[in-house]
Amino acid sequence: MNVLADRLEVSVLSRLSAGQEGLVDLRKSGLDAEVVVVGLGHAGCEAALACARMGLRTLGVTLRRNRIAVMSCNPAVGGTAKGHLVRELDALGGEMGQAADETGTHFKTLNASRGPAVQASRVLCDRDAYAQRMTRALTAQKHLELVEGEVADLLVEKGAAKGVRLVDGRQFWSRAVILTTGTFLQAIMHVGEQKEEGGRVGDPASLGLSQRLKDIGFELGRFKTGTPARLRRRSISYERCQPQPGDAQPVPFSRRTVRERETGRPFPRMPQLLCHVTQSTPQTHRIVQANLHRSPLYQGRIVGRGPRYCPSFEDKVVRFADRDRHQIFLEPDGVDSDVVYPAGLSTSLPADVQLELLRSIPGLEQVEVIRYGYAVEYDFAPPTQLTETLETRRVRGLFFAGQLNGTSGYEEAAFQGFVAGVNAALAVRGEKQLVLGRNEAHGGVLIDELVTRGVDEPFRMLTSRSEHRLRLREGNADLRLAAHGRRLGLVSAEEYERTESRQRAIAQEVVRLKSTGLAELLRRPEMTYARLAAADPRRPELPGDVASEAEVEVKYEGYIAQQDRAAARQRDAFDGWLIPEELCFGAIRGFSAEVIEKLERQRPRTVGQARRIPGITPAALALLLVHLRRAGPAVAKNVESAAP
Amino acid sequence: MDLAPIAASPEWPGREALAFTIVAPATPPAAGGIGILRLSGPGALAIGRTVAPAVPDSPSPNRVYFTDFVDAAGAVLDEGLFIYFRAPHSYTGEDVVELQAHGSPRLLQMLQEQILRAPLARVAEPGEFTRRAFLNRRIDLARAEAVADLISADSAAAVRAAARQLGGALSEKVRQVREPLLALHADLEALLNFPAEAGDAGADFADRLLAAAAGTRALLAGAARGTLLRRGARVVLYGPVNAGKSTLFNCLLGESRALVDEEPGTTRDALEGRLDISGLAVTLVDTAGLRVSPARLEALGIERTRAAARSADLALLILPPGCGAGEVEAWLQEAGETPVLRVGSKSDLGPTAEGVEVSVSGRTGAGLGQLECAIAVRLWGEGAPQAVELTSQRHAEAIQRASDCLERARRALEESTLEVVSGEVGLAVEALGEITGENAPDELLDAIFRRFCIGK
Repeated sequence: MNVLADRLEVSVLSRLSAGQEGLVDLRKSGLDAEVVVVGLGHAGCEAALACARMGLRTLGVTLRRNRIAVMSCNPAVGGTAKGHLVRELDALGGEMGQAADETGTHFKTLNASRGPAVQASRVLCDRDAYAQRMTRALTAQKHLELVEGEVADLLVEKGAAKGVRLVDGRQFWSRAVILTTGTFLQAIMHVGEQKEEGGRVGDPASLGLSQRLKDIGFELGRFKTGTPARLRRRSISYERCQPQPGDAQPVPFSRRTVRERETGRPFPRMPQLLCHVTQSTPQTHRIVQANLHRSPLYQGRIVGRGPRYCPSFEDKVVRFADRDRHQIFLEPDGVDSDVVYPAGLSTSLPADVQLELLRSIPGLEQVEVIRYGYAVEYDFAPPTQLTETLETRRVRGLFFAGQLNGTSGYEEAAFQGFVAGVNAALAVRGEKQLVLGRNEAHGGVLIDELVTRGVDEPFRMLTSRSEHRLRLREGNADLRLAAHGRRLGLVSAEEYERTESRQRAIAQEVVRLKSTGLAELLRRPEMTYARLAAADPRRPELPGDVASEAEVEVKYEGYIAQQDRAAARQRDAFDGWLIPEELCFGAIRGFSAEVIEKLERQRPRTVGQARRIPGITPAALALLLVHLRRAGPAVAKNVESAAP
Repeated sequence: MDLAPIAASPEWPGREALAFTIVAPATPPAAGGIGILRLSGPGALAIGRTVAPAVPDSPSPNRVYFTDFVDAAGAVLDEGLFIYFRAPHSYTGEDVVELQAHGSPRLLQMLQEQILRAPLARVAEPGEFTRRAFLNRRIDLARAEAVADLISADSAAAVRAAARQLGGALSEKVRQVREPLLALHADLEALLNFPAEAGDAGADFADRLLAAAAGTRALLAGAARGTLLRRGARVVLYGPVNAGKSTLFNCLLGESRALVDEEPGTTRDALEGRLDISGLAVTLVDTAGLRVSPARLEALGIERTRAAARSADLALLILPPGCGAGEVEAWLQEAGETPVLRVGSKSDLGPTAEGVEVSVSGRTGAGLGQLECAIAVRLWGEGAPQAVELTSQRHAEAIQRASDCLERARRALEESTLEVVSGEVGLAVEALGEITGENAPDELLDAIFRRFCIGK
């Protein structure tokens, strides 16, 4: 290992064992840290920060310190459902939202006209600035130390995680371990006929850990994902593309950014950049068709399954052969960067084909390529091996988060990292775990889907996955979740009070609108809160984020009630039936071996969860219900009714 | 999906392992031409062969073997047919053997006793063959319920409807409405989840919504008729005193149930009788006559009559000759919301009253055939009650829910946002899927990715 890492390690050990006030005396207990976080991508950063902020001595291990919080694919944070996750993370006390606000170069609100719950924020960030911003947060964080190195082994004793051993032989003992290894396990990159080991261009793969996880008994699967070429900005003829400016009045993710702006700090911080849109041409598609035989995807050399919502360009051309054009978004990598990311052009065709097809696209006739696109194949651990806290069922104190769980996206990773970090900390302290309900947060839906249904392609969050969508809005994320953040100690009392008072103000305004009959007017299709002002002379002076929420609550009240009723019907039919922990599925007569195996492996808590497990047939569900009904009212319907 | 009808019903005990081979007579326990014993389960073939040892140990499936049936000592009891259906190509999805012997109950009992000597054989519980078919995914929920309906069906048309449903016709009909609706939902969700890529999703949302709403309305009309089929229709005779209601009642039933007298107001309590009209089970109710200004003795009966008319599926207003238009109008009011068929009675005695739709004479029987026809048409609409209809309450409830969702979606398209429209459409798709048990968790996503080129 290099000198830097050795020096880091010494400083870690000396500082960690210094026995600071109120903290566990690590030396006395023979520990190097209370929690070790392996990998410092988007999941690892949130996990490490959450643990350390909750007062646990935390050690973050990364392959390369200068690659912390790298955006491996496009430089964007947010989007539909993803923006929701970032807001929710922010409300709970996570970091991603603020980091994106501070480094954003292009803010856009998507779906503004299609409804308040599908409305979502998306921000292009300055790629380098974002990583630096996050790295600074980590290095400045009390109780958090960083180590460079590759983890070769998990230290497991009596079914519990006890730390990690690095390739160079160093061992770090801890009470909990969080694995956030991203796409680095057994990673292979493909460009055309060439393939090499590595989780990202310029970064090595992590090879030993996969085998070790299998030895412990974990099942691993294989996924693939891809990324487009990176283009040189100066070589693009932008006059041939359609410019796409960001919003004139950017909206930040973080409540903290909102407050800072109120107190005079400028927002946005970074200069704002233009994006551009261009389109592939029939000629582009002919080039792809003529060279398909040289794509590793079509040669069968990639076995891992890729995401349908982020297909390679060659997939698009083949599957939608009747379309003569596909949109390409040219997204700048940063303010001072000469790199442009062509979103929509992910490919693993050979370099010469990539260049040819790029140059058939308007605006890119003379384009120069900085780095060619590639596909990467990697191991993931099917997340049905986890509980809802993201702890593995097999090894106590071991948590998995991020792309390792078969998800894709920085936001999905960050949210899981946060939840794993919080739950590792709570587990070490012996406190009640954090499990968010499906009716509380898209993040709750995300984790429930992962651990109960598993994944059969890289998992992207979608608002359609939620049966409570109208409630789970970006605009009320803080109102929904700040209480959790406060309980965890990750949201300050001051911040929490601010949320509470906003909540009160909204409720008050809703009551006022209803009692004056103005609510009826507001519910009319063409009416908005702003337009209502004429009929409402005695309206109080309200902040915009109070008025807008009050407006949504009034206008959508009926539809939300309808959605609640539908969800409640499902809950009564299925989720209301708790499955006793001691229930032996094998003892229920009539189940097939396959059904028993699936149920025993995943141990659903409710019939509703059992129903979401792929392969559980209606017949099996009927049998399970019959069995529970016979067991009597003692177990039936005693699930807590978390729904509003 | 509501599984209660199956899970809660006593016919579905849900406690036996499929490892057992079950046996039961498939024909009624009466001396008939042929008696059939049916075996289903993993041991069906081996156990079946213990009474028919002449059958080869691996017989061709679906082939009929003529064989001797023997007892434990090998003595021949009877001769008959042996048919083997190999899993999964059988009614239950398991190995099934049918033994067709001569229909003596005693003989079948002896064969069954012989079969039950096998350690993993036992007598089938009621409905168990169907239950196994459901568990083995040979039939869907709608069909499984149809079997239950079939067993308790009361009229010829109900039997036909249950049989059609069993054949999957109901599922097919629902699917025809649900599939375009799922496509619409996929288009809407693609737009909401991938605004940049799915921007070209159709602008014809309103038309597609209307088409789907029309589809569910048709299903809903079927559901109403299905309810008629299942529980039968209630038809009430009412009208002025001494109009001849009881005579007509008796004519229709073909028996003398009601007390008939020339004295007005003879019938004070409602009388009921059952009959089959064009295959539909009809409960006919005779009531006390109503006077516009009733005599006090009749007051109680009149109140009952009004209640009976208002709760019926159809009210027959029996009008004697000479009833004036004003009087007819007053009678029509009495029935409340119930549809009324105006019947002119005693056609043999004089010209019929105003606005009469059918004329009959209870005494001569003239016009009775037309009356039955008119009752059937008013209850059912055109055509005989044999088309497949939704026959279970669960189905009707789900269709009603889907229809309500689509109505809200249509309103939301005018006055709210697309996310609300899509949410309601999704709930409608889900409600329809409950009937066929088709709500696959990833169905929506599959539809989106099939229809749109998603991916930046």
